[in-house]
Amino acid sequence: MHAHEDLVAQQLRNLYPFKVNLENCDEEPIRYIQSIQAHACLVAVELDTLTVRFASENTMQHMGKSWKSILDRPIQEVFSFEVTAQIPVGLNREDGFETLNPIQAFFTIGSERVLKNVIINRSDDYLLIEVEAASQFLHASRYQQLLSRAITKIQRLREYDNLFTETAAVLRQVTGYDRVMIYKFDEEYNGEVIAEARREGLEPFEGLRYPHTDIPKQARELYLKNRVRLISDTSTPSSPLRRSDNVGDHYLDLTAAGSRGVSPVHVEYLGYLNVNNSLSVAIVQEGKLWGLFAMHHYSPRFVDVSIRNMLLFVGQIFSGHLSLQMANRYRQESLNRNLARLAIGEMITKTRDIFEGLTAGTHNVLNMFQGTSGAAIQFDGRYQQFRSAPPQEKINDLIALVRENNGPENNLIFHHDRAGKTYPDLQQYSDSAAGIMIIFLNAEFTDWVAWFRPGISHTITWAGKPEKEMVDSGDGVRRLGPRKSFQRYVETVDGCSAPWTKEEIDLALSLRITIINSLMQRYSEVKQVNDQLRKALEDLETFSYTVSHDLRAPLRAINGYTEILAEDYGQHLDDDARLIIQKIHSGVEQMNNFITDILELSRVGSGGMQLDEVAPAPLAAEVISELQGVYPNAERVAVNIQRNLPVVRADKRLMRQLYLNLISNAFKYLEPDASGKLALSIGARPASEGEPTTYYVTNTGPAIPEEYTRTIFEMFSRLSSQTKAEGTGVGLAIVDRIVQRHNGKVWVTNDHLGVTFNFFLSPENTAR
Amino acid sequence: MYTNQILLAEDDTTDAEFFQRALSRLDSPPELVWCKNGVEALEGLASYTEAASLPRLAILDIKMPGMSGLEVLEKLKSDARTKDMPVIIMSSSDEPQDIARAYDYGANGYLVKPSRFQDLRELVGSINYFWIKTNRLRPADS
Repeated sequence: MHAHEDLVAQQLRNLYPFKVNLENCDEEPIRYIQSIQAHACLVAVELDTLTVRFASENTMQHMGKSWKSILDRPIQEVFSFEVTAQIPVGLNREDGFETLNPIQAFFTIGSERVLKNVIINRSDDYLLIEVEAASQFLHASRYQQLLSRAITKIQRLREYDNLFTETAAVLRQVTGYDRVMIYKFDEEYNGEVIAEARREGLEPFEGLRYPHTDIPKQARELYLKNRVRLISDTSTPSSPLRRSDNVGDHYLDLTAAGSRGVSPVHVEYLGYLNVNNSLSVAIVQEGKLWGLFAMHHYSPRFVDVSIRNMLLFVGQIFSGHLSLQMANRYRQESLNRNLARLAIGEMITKTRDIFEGLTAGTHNVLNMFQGTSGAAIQFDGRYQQFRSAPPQEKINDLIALVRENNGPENNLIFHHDRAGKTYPDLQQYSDSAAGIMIIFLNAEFTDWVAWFRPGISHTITWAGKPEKEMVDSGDGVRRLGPRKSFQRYVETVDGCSAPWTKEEIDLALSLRITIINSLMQRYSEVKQVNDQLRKALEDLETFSYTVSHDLRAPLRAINGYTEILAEDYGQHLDDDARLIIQKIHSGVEQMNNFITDILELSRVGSGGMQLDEVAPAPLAAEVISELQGVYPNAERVAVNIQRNLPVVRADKRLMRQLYLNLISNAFKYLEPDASGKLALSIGARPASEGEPTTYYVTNTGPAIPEEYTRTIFEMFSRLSSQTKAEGTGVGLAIVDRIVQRHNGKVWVTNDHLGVTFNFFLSPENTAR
Repeated sequence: MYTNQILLAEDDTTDAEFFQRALSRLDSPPELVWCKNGVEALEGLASYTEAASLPRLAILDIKMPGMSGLEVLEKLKSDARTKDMPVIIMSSSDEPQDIARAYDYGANGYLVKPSRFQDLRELVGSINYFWIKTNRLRPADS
């Protein structure tokens, strides 16, 4: 024996039929504790033989028979007919003994006949028969009155928040306990006192938190099976459970027994709280422990089983009422949320743009969830942040990390209220984005909408430091002791946002569907329009092809007849008539050029492209020498082609056409510069950040007014009809078309020699 | 005895007239047999009983109502009696695919209708010189 043997450790060893891991409360097998609280005795009857096999040592006190005298005796010898008659009834009922309990029976204790409550429960192959005091003063009418008062009060409550305080008050009235708390569990089963009613002079516990370790897992499981738990008097020791030698290694599971002994660790815990007596009623919601009615009394107090049953009933009413109110509240909130969601969906459909749709309306991405600091959207290669957001790449890094770790929930949503803790890179953004929720719109995780919540210094007032202590159990083994100190302990949690509630996550998920549906609708619309456009374009090209050819026939007729006229009747015509014939010719010529250009344009738009590495310099040189024959002033123009023009990926035929049109355009509009020099230059600027290699054709000549720099690329647009320069106004439209087909861009600037046409091509970049 | 005939299938009266006029300006012009469409051309050619008496050359416009020049061409080239008669396709189109198609069908030449009468006259002159005066490819000539 050690000098200072730890009593609790010793008890723990004695109370359980097998070795107990003392270091972990979660492993204490409390349902197998082999002891019974002093306020009752327990007799376990083997069902097969209806013989007593277990009995607590205190049977004499409660039943007037010693435990030794009843072990291995048939049940008829131990209990009166009042009790035994109920056994076959209970065994044959679907709900067992639930509605039969308590059975009131008289026991002869010493010389007195005493009325007792007998409570029978079945546990595997045994009947657990508990005998405890029956309160003489509790008449049926009084009990019903209390019950109906409690229920009426609870049912009258309309406001969710009042429900708790009022219920606590009602319970205290009914039970007379010093303190009645409504104790609610969070997701980790830390408990918080959300309401209480207490005797005057007691310190308030409301708002205090209790760590989940205070009510370990197996205790919570027991609460689900046996919802009322009375610990009547911690000052009186429990009574050990004795067993018959005939049961071998069988240990009794006491889950169903209300008088099941109390874990020494828990007794120690209550001792530190100065609580002598506790009564708890489990509140169960959807099969989960929602919370407890936790009642404390600072002196011994026995609560009659009828009242305990009543409390159980009140707990059920409360739980039902809670569900109802939560459902109502949820319905109202989800109605509001759905309205917001639908409005956003409509806005997306209307604006045909996810960015617009999520931001333009009264309901928008920023007010969808309460307390968000900002939002961000990444969609189809576009990114935009609203109010405040961590840098885009950090969010994408986070997404990559999440994906590595088994991916977001159902691949649809990710949420975290302390992202900086799991993803240290985000720590520095905790102020504005401690909480992050992201919905994913595509399977590649490249399209998403994210919301951010600011970090709040979150304070939790623990009822004592939420750590259990290791206690030296005396023989070199340490055991985990309960918390000793219940001094308020305020913990500040940083880098944590308000949590994303289930409702908010649900809303985000349905918003995701709404966005996708709206986008799909938009896409199908766009696709339809595209198809129509493509068809129209094809039709137009067929049309211009046909028309161009058909137009040529009458032109030939005009031309031919005028020529014949001139040839055959020339001698009859005067100079004026011959001039008219010439004018007819030039009109026809112009018309012919129009037709050629329109045909060219329709050709540029259609047909496949064959991409090659094209060297622009030889193409330009070829075009220039061709055009020098056409434009009379070309000989006087100083032409310069930059050496080593970088190759470009393009369709060679179209590229040639591009240079042909740009250079002939330059020749047409060439005018001498201030020094009287005529010049044309072809070159390129090397690629620089973000900008691909840009090619240009520049010539001396008047600047193009700002307002025309875009319209000159439109069909039949010519700067001025007064200009002497000839042209159909289609040439630059063809240039624009060619550049577009190469996913490039063409624009005009007034620099270099005077007027400059710049372009770049990036045929592989289909996103443009 | 050579017939010195040219068959022209052309639905456009003006184009046909220009052709006739251009032809008539030649020295000793060949005779022009003008058919207003493809069907008429085939019927006309069917009336020639002997292969040797067929026109020296057929010129077919592509776009004609009823039967296009290419269809006529195909029929002529698949008929043993007419397959050796030179056929020139004439069109206002200079689309490369149109030209290629004509040769695929077996055309012996492809001409783009000139927009100037003067050019047409020169063209007709050269056709006459090559296909009528100097061409000795026809089996009937051997």
